[in-house]
Amino acid sequence: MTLTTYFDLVKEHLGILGVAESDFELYYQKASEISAQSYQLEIDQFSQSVAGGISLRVLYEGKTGYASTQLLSEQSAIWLAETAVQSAAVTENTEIDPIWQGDGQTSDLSDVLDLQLDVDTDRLFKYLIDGEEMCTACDDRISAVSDSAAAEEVSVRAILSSGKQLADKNHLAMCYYSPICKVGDEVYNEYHIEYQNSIDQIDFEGCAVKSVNATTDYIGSTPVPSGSYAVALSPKVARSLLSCFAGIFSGLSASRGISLLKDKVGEKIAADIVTLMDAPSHKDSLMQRSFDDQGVTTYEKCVIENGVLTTLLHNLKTAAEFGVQTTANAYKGGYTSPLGIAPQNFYFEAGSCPLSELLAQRECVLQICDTKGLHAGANAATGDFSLECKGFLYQNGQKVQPVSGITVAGNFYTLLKDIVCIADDLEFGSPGSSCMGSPTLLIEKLAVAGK
Amino acid sequence: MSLMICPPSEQVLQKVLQTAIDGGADFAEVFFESTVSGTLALSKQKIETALQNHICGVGLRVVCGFKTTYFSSCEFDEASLMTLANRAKTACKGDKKVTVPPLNAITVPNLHPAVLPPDLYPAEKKAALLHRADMAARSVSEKIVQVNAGLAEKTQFVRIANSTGLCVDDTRIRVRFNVNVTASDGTQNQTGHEAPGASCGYELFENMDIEALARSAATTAVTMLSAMPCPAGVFPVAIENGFGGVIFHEACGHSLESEAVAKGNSEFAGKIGTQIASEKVTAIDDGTIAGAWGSTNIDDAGAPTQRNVLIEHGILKSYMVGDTDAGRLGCSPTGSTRRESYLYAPVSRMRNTYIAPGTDSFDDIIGSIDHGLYCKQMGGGSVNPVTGEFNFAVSEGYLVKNGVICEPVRGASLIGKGSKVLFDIDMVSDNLAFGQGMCDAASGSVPTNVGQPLIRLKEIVVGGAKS
Repeated sequence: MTLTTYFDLVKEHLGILGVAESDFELYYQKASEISAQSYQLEIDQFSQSVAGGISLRVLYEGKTGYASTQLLSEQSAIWLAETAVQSAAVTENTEIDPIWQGDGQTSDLSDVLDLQLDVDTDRLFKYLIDGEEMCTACDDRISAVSDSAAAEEVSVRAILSSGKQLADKNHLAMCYYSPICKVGDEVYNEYHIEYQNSIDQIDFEGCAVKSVNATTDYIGSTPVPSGSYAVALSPKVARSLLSCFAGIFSGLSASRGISLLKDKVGEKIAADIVTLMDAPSHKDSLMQRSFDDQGVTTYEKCVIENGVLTTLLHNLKTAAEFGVQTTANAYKGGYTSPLGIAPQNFYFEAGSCPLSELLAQRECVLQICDTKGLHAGANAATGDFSLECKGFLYQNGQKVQPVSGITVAGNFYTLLKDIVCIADDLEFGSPGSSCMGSPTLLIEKLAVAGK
Repeated sequence: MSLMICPPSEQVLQKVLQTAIDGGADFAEVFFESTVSGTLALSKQKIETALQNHICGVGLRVVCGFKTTYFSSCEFDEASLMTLANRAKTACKGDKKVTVPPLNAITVPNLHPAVLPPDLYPAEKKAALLHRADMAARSVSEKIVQVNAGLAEKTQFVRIANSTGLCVDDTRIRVRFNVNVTASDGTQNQTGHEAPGASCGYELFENMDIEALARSAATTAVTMLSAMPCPAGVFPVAIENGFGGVIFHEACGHSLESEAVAKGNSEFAGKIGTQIASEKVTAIDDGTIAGAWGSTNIDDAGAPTQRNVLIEHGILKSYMVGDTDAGRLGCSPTGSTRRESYLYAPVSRMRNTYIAPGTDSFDDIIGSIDHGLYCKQMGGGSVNPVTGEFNFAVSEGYLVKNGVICEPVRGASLIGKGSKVLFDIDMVSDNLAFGQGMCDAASGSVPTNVGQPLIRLKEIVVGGAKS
């Protein structure tokens, strides 16, 4: 069954239930993935999956209802229509949540259902094992490579309503190495991960070497004394923090009263040197989005300009509530999820300072290169964070010791104001619901717990 | 209407398994699933969303030596299944000759029945429950600015068949309530959270004091508004019962899963029979507790769940062993093989994991601390099983001074190494309770109970914003 045939079936049953042709939308998503893990130079795990589904969003008596299924059949079309209408009947929210009818855009849907992955698995296995071998070859302290994986994914997204028919397709490949280094009684274990659009673009052995360096760099690491430090957040860590707190820029969070930025548009919320962008088609990011999850054409926007909050992020619903235009940031966490809001390529603009100069801006700088437990140790509602971290201590710009076994704590709202220098090393991270980017940020002061 | 999905027949499954294993593999298994899940969410004093989702599909697992090959698909007609089987046959070559016996599906006895299953519980009653929570939370203080409450329900039917002739059907029903309350004084926000759940139907909420839970979350949020940033340093810490058990889950539990142990990627690998914790610590993982959040009748490889003593008075007794790791470890599986859905190959996971009650009293434990932290509510955390480095968040904490619980502190976290912290548990109370969570790992997100009585750590690194 084609998507358009299924669309017509759902439309027919919704019509019987009294839903107007312009009051519903189908959202379809499907992904195909191959992944492998090697262990002791043999492929240990291999998996291949194809999965996806379709969700229906319907306006019924002025309220929104949702239902989703993985089956494309006549039976499921009836179930989907009835269940979504029942869902709308249960809800009590009558705020305007329109079905975007599009602005004339159409995509070719002919190959959306027929999802093929064209991967030479033997080549994938060889790349992966070569990388594992590289890990042990480049440093004789590596006793094992604890985890190695590679994946290639192609995913499609399609949105259909009476006025629009949109689809896009993304390719993503990934490799990951995590070597174990034993020195005496101490065990060190870090990782490196690399994303590209296809496995042939990935430098597996380079990734392996970086994973070994990421691990062995911490040999001999110790906690620093508890206290207050000037902290340089590496691009990786700054991206992670931005990801945790991206929700505070959402119109939905503001609407629900759980973002302190609700009435702050036009006000200064960050240091003068801070500019925060959302660019759905940034050339350095692997994530490219031409339309959001309501089908609205995306565009580049400045969220913080020289420290001033210029806009929140909106979908059609929150834009109507705030009396502004949508910023085309509608987002679904998957076909089963309700509509929310998320940035696309969300990043702090690079400064002009080389990293080496940034690390010498204060007599003592703690460079944080890795952090764990962000899902628990950072609270988006309060802005507070307290996180397990690793990094390096610098004195007068010179690296003096690797550091582990510490926490770094602060508040994100305060941190934005305490950024005193921005390096020129902007990097984007892994594509996901959003893709975050940041250069190294020097923070005047954060609390560190150590020894 | 309800969506009636027929699982693949025994005859089709036998044919699929035989084809998949004909390449010479040791073992083949099909996991079929049809799951209906629903969520109801209240925000801004209104039911904002109601979702009903249906997923269905198959996972085909083939094992040859220590190599596991896994194919999954949301298409499960006979032709699609045979396509998967032929791919598996090609991908997993060995020298075994296995004949799959005829299959006869049996439904396993249900030890966790649902008296009021989700599809029979009226939507109006579900909505009313959330409104009750909203009103109760808002009654606590004018500083409550938002109440987000929700219900989640899941009915999962599985058929698991394998090349040994096993073919079992099981239905798992779970329900969970959550309330997240935000308090604000205009310049800062604080939050409180409660989220009880169980393996049963809506009868769970017929006897639950929903208002008390909502008031508890609201009280936490309001209390934390007046909290100062937690001081950073190394202190003795008392961790309250219930979700406090996340410390064992993160600091030790993951490192006792055979997924990590079998390849030597755990700090506890090779330590069966040795002392890895203080004598105060006895720890158990039990998949059989009636109606508990992490319980199932059978695990996701079709084996009955068990009660496993992991640590007894500090001595490591057992790991949680998945079926494919048993060979590497030279021991039997422990009914611990789990997966989120058919999309994931199963691995060993925790179910209901807890520290057993001790004999120390609340007053003994708090009274023993001159300067430290009392963690009333814990957040989540994470661990690197290889190094044992763990972290977790404190969502409601208080300073303890001279044996007395004093002012609240916010933004605290605890970090350490599992092998050390287990020896630092030097007092264990008798008030065992459980908290419910979702645990993310290689086989997806699965419901797990964490549990413990009040415990004392003689010292741990406390992260906080006050230096």
